[in-house]
Amino acid sequence: MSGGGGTGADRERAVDPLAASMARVAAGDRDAFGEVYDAVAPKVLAVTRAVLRNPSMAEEVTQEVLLEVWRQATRYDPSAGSVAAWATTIGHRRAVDRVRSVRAREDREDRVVAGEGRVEYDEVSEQVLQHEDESRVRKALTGLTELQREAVVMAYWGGRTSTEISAQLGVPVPTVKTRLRDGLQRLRVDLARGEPAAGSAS
Amino acid sequence: MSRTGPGDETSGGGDVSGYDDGVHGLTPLYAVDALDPQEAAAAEAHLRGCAECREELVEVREAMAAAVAGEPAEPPSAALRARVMAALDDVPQLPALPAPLAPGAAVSAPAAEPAAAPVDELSRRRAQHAADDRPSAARSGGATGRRAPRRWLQGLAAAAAAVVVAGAAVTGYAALQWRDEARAAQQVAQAMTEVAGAPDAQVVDAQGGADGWGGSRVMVSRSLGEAVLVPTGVEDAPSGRTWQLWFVAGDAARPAGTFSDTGSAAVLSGAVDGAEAVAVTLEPAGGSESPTTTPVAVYPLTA
Repeated sequence: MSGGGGTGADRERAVDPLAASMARVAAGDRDAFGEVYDAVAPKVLAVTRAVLRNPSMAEEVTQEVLLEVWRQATRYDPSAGSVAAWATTIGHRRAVDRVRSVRAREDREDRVVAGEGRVEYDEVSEQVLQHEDESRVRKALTGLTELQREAVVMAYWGGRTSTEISAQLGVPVPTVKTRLRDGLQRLRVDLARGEPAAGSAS
Repeated sequence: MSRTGPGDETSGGGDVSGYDDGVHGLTPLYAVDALDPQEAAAAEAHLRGCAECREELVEVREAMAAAVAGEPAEPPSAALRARVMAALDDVPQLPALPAPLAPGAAVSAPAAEPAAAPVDELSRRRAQHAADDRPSAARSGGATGRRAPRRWLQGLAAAAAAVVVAGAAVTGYAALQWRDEARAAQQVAQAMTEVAGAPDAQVVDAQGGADGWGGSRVMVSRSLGEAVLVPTGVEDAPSGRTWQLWFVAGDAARPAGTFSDTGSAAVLSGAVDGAEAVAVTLEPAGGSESPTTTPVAVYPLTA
């Protein structure tokens, strides 16, 4: 396989109905922002909750993210993905930054113990795979190998870099990257097949 | 889709179509924020020139967004919506970018010459004029979006009047130099004028720019070895943290000063040398020796 090579320019992506609303938001239209909010806020909250696992912190970050959507509306580029993916990307980034800064503080306080990575993964994967049973997350993740799933869950849900995952699992960085990349490719293929207009309306 | 079993866990060897061959393979990891800051900067620089990777980035992000947000456990509270709507008054929208990324890029996947490539001031003006003549969704920024680059350049003079040197947190030798603020400000003003006037000056827009880091630009002259940050829409760093600038080359990131006076331009500390990009991260107060967070913005430089 060629890493999804041929799918680039010739591939049509479904037009995101929210993109038109975003154009109005960019002109300061608050009604349009309300539409965008209603469509994306639940998704952003789902992402921040998944990463932060602290409901009030997740709400706080979601609020920041939605205001960021307002502030940066003029910079939204429809060719770079759906509004929902744009917003959840910002949400993930922010949630991860939050988690990392908390962790950095904890690290300074010497609270990291060997083997923590494994414990964390078990905890996160329990959350992801069981708490949200029947969800598409679960369905999608069950298509991965155990090792891919571990890497993807630690990265996306656990907010870990590949370097951190490598250190925690005691596995070389390139191996972690390979697992992550293969797992993400698989998710991308499976989810695209499941629902072509993923992330847009509904 | 019949995939060859991805069970080959030992770093792929040669069978994974060259995925470990550098920055190309970073895209999916970048999409889930799993890269170290230097790698993330490299990935961003690469993404600007690689349409295939941009497509992949979009797809992974869409997939993860769909996966995690498919079925929200419980909807956001009405109170959250009310708080957000009420806060809009306090959050000014960014002006539209003068050089539109979208119009060309949306239709034809940009190949060798991405629309977002750093451009000199002249071509920026040309692009601006062209864009002004055509109604475009991407330019619907309204009155605030009309900030012409011409005016921006003229605005440098005003900005130069209120400049501060980056590196406020630097102590000792640098602090001594810095004591005479008036002199420093004058130096920044002079540097800005020189860089702006240099024949090889590049004005680079941020790639990224989330997380409180707005539509700032970096102006660079390689021949002079100088880089100036002209901030717009930069929020104060969260308490206990600071914005820090970096010169990025390959895997290495050289500190280029912390940045706290978000209303003023700043000359980056150190020489541009072979830097491929300028990056900005949030660091613990006082700054770091190397980046500890994902860049909030990257400014890829042309050679």
